[in-house]
Amino acid sequence: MTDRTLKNHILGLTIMLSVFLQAAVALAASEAVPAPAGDQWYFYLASGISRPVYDPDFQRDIDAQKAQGGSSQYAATFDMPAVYHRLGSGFLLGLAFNGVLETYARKWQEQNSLSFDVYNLNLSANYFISEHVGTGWFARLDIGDSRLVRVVEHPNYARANFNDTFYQLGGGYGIVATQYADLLLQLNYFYADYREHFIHGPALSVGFLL
Amino acid sequence: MKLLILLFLFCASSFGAHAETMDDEALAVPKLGDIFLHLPSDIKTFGKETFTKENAPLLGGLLLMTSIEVTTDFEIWQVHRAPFLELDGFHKISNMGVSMGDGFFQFGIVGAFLADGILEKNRRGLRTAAQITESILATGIVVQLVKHVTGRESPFSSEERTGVWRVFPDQLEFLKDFQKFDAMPSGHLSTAITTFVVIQENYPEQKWIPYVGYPIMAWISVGLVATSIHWFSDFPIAAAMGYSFGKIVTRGNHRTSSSLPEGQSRFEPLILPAFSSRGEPILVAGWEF
Repeated sequence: MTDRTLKNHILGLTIMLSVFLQAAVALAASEAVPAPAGDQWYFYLASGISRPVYDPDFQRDIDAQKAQGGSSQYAATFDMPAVYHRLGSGFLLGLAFNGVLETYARKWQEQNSLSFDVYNLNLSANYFISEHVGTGWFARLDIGDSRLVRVVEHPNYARANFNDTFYQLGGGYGIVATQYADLLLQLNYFYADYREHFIHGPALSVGFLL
Repeated sequence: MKLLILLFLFCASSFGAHAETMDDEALAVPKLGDIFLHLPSDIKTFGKETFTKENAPLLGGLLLMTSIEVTTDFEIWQVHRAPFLELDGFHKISNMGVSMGDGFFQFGIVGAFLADGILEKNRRGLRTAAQITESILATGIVVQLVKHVTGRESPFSSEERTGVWRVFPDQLEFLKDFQKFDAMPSGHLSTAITTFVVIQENYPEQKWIPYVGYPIMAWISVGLVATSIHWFSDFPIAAAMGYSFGKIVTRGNHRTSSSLPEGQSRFEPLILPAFSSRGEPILVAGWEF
């Protein structure tokens, strides 16, 4: 493994671990400080699916992989975590760490996959129309920094990174799930622009606002 | 209607949600046999309280989240698997995470609390050890039951992208090659979470516990996916099960002033309508302290 590949791995790993640790600390904070009615801080954890569309260059790679039998039903998306501060009735503003992961491979044993992993750190805003955070219809807007990692396993292991901007617009509906958590169902549309490349598509996710 | 003050409720258990209300001498410590005798009622309570109308949004959310993650498990697994194979440090960290989710580690924690309880004559330590054991056993029984029904392949032995599900598998085949059947839900994570919840419930004054506990749960989860033992979708239901059993087993711990309804002083009587033995309507007043 080259130094560059190793560095990329460590970077990817750091991102991934930070996701889990942030999520864990967010959960701990919500547990340690029970949310009263006038709560100011919120944490959002969600999983979802997406059907991304890629630029022609990436699509050629994908088509070649698919010709060998590589498949991908859906891409994985996640918000782990988004941390929000309530600025007004029903209005939340904060930072969201989210991503889109897609791997084309027939079987994992074959070591012959093509992956596109997008990691984003966004400024995220949510507005609940009912003016009650966590319940009813809401709209969401995210803008931030994006990093795309493309990994090719075959014939030679290769990893490439692309950085630029991420936009996401959408909304959803929330209901009360427990005393401390609301269940949110979201449908968003994202666009990640890397100058010579792009990825965009819808993302459906379900998560808990704590 | 008669006004009758019938009884004073002396709930003398002095264990409370705050350190200043705690008196370890008065704590009831379950006997060894109780741990096993409580298991049927723990499991019954879990079933009765989990599948309720009020819990429908939570159960629906967990089910939906799990379904979505099942669809994308392969992607999430790949992100963890590659660094596990190529980075020595991550390899070690992942294996440490897995070992914190296994029985040796958790019963090691039981041993530590037990030793503290015996050597320091600490009743709270003894109770924590007993409740961890009880909650691990109760969680383990239900988790095993679900595993034996769902029959999902672990990533390590998966024949399909996200593992084959063999619902109601041949139980002899299950025993012969359990990795082909026992992924859903995660026993490692559910028992780790139930251990953590019991500790947290026994030491509520220690505010740092969740800040350490949840990152450890995340660490265990990363390790389980990276080492190809579990899929990410094996976790939401496992976490909910472990959390529920932890809460059920420790339910009796907080019968103190802190359990009074918000705004009610311990010196104010709790007045309730009731019927006398002759069927006459009466009012009952009691004090809880």
